[in-house]
Amino acid sequence: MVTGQMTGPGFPGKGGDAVEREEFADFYAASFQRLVGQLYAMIGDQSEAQDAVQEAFVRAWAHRGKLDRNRAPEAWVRVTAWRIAASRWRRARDGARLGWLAARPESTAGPTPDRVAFTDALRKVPAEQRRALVLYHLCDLTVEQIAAETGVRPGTVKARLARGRAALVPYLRETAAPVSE
Amino acid sequence: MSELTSELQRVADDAARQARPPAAAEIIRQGDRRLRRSLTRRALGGLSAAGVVGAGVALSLGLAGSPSAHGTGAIRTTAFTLVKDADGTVTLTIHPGVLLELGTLQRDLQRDGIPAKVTNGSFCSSDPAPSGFRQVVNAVLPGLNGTPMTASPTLTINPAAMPAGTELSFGHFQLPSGQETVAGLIDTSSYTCTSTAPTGRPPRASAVEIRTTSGS
Repeated sequence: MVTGQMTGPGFPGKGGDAVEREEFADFYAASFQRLVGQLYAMIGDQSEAQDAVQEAFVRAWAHRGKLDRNRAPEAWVRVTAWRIAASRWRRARDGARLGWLAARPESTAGPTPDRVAFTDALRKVPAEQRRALVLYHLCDLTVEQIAAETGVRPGTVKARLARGRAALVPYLRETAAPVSE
Repeated sequence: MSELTSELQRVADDAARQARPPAAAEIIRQGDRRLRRSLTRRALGGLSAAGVVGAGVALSLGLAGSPSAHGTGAIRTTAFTLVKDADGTVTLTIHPGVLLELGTLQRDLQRDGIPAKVTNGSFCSSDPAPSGFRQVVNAVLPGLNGTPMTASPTLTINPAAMPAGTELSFGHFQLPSGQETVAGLIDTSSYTCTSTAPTGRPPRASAVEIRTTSGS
């Protein structure tokens, strides 16, 4: 799966301010919507996801000198967006904010009963399990990479993936592939 | 692609299609402003008396925004203002809390007829230093000679007074204790650059030091 993550000598670069701005703008354009989609799948709120991703990009530009050039900046933005969303959730002192709020984007294809059932099932999966599922299935990270990004042990990641999949498999027409590193 | 992956991808794609990203320029603008506020807070936390001799002046140099049109006598960015006066002098005002974009400063100084070398993490100097620095640069620094601490440092530069074969050298350093910028005159045919930030006070006749201090 193409993640579109920027690596190598790209952003943040050392080609001067104009080049840096251009590289950042390209990076932003290439990854903003994808990251909103990923974060939405993690937290279940469209506007929160967009706000958090937008704020993360603002911070990425403000602190671009600190970004590790060897690490994909898209991962940095994703982690930052998650932390922003989680922080807002904690401040709201309402665990339901990271559950699945009522408002969700309309599927442009028109939801079939199966899709509605899957989405409802996803709603019930705990946030950390959803996050692990998104990182594994959408961001194409390994268990080790997910562990590093989420700050837990690989065994915990595997457990979250297994539990999340177990909750969703009944709503799939075929059995999902087993988790592997 | 497993069905679980495709279903998750569908959920994400639906949300991605709904997303309406602001213009990249707006994100950059907000990021610049965020950084300026951060640097301002740090700068105000470390204000101290400044001197031509080189004591610490609380100043952070910040990210420059896009300069306005040149040719009207003034170049304004979010980090500094360059005003060319009718008498040929150029006044550089550095705005506290805004990180200087060094490439922009060098380009704009040169555009105003001031040969300059602006370096980040190093400072270039000549030994002996060319004479006449104080005729070339008149510095007005916060906390000195009645200048309010909240004032922006200004350097009035007289390019006509620059000896032949010299240029202004600006060296900018990020130190553990803050940021430091040193300005001096160099002989373009003979100078060395060091990555070691100047310590102590430079000879008052040959350089000006602008430093952001933390807790000092």
